[in-house]
Amino acid sequence: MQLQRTWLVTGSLMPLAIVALFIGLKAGSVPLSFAALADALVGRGPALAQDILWQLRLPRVIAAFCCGALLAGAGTLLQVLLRNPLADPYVLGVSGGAAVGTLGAMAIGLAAWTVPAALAGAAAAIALLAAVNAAAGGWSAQRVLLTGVVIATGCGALVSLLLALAPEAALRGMLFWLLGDLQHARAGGLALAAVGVFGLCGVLLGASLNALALGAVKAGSLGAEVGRVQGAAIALAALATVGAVLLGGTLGFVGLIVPHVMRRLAGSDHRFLMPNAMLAGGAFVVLADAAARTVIAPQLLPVGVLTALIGVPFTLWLLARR
Amino acid sequence: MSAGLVLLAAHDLAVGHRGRSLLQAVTLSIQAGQCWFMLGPNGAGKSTLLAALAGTTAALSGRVEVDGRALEDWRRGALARRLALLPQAEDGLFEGSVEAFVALGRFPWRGRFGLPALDDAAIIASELAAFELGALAGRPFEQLSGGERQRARLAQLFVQRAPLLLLDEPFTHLDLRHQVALVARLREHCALGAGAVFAVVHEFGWTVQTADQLAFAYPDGRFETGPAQTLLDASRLGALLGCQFTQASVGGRQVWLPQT
Repeated sequence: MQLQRTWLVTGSLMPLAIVALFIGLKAGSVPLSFAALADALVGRGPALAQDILWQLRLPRVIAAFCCGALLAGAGTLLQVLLRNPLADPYVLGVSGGAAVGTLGAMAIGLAAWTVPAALAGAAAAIALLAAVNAAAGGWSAQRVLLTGVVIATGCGALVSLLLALAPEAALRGMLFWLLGDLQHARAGGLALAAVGVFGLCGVLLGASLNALALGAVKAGSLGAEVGRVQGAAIALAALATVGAVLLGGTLGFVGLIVPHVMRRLAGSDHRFLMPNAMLAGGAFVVLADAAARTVIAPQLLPVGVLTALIGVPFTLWLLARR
Repeated sequence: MSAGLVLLAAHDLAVGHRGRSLLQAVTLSIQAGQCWFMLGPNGAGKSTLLAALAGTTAALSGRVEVDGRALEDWRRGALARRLALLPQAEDGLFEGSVEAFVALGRFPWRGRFGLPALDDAAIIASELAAFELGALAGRPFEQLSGGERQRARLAQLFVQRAPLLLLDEPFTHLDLRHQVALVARLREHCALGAGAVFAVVHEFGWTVQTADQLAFAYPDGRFETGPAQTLLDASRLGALLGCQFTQASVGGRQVWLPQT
């Protein structure tokens, strides 16, 4: 991949993300023009518009962006870490744990406790993953992958059980959450800052991740701190996944496909791939969420349906090229 | 002139897996200017020993010193500028051009963000040319044949510009023409005075017979080193490789062939 092309893609992603944010802000029951939105952002124009923007739409759009960015970033890290192109953020089992926690809370009617329940579930899943691998003696990409997949499958079975036993009233909410639901998602500056820090860490690890793609032995002989990089990357990926799941449920497709698409478009140098994937993932979820709200308005679709419906044909087209 | 300087020394090393040792009492001193080949049957522990010498796996017991300092006392980045390893199998997932692949060999010389050093481009270009990869530089790495990939891995090793080269089966997949060129390159690396080569091969072909220093990894766990003239005798080779050998003189060079 030529360096110029990589810079071109990276350079154009930030303005594209901003455009996506504006499109996301436009979606909603009250029609607001782009001009009105721009005014409300800088504090001019009618108070109602400003309220709608700042209290309702901006937090939602920021949540969507953060969710997508975290998922795409985590997917990028895990694909190089586990040396597997099919790895996605849910492969560690961490999101399965969070799902069991969240849906468990929803099923017994404690909807207000979903966040701590999700965190508890995620922590349990990661503890189990770490314990199994520590007992087996040290790091092996294959064993981590298998353990995570088994834990995720187990959590999937528990989720099915919860769905089967849950009362009718809670069921719809639970299903939407499973498919990716940004309806009640709110996020602000803190979430954006966290995403920024995550991205920066990813860029700092980028050169070492490039070396890791050669295999752990060769990377070590080139001077990469293999153990530390692997540990840091897995921790970052797990935290990012939990963050994304807390924001938008188990939103599928983004973490798996966005890294591949960006690799195709701009190469697999991880110093660029991390920010590329995160910006693209964030923008993609914002647009999908906007579509989820408007396609069959006033009914809402789960965002996960839109990410798949838009993402699958696009990726197939990309794969069929050249 | 730094010929004679000890680049790597191993003291009473034992290497193996999970407590079971494959080679014991390994004592080795690689000096600048020396071209070593290590020979032994499959499973003797050659790759394990190489990994222990390079510091990528721990030995069961004993000590390895690079430039007089114990391996544990070296920072990984600093060690990578003195010692380069070509491992046997490729267990990576590299996507990118051949040039990007070779450029990864410059990792120890690059900064925090992986910013290239000033002479990077020139070094990468010269090694791509040396291994006849110029025309393939922009090609995706996955599209290369086995022999082309091996040459790319060798180019990646040489751009690392480390004086001590540890190679595991460097001749695999290479055409005879490229094997000849590689032997010439390795000897040139040693002849320049400050460098040394230690290559592991399991086939007793013409390449091994160009070495000036040999290391034998016997199937019973013994390890022996010495100049090529001393170690190349019928009884040793028989014990090492389990075959009878005949010796002939061809054009002033001693040649060993298995009896069939």
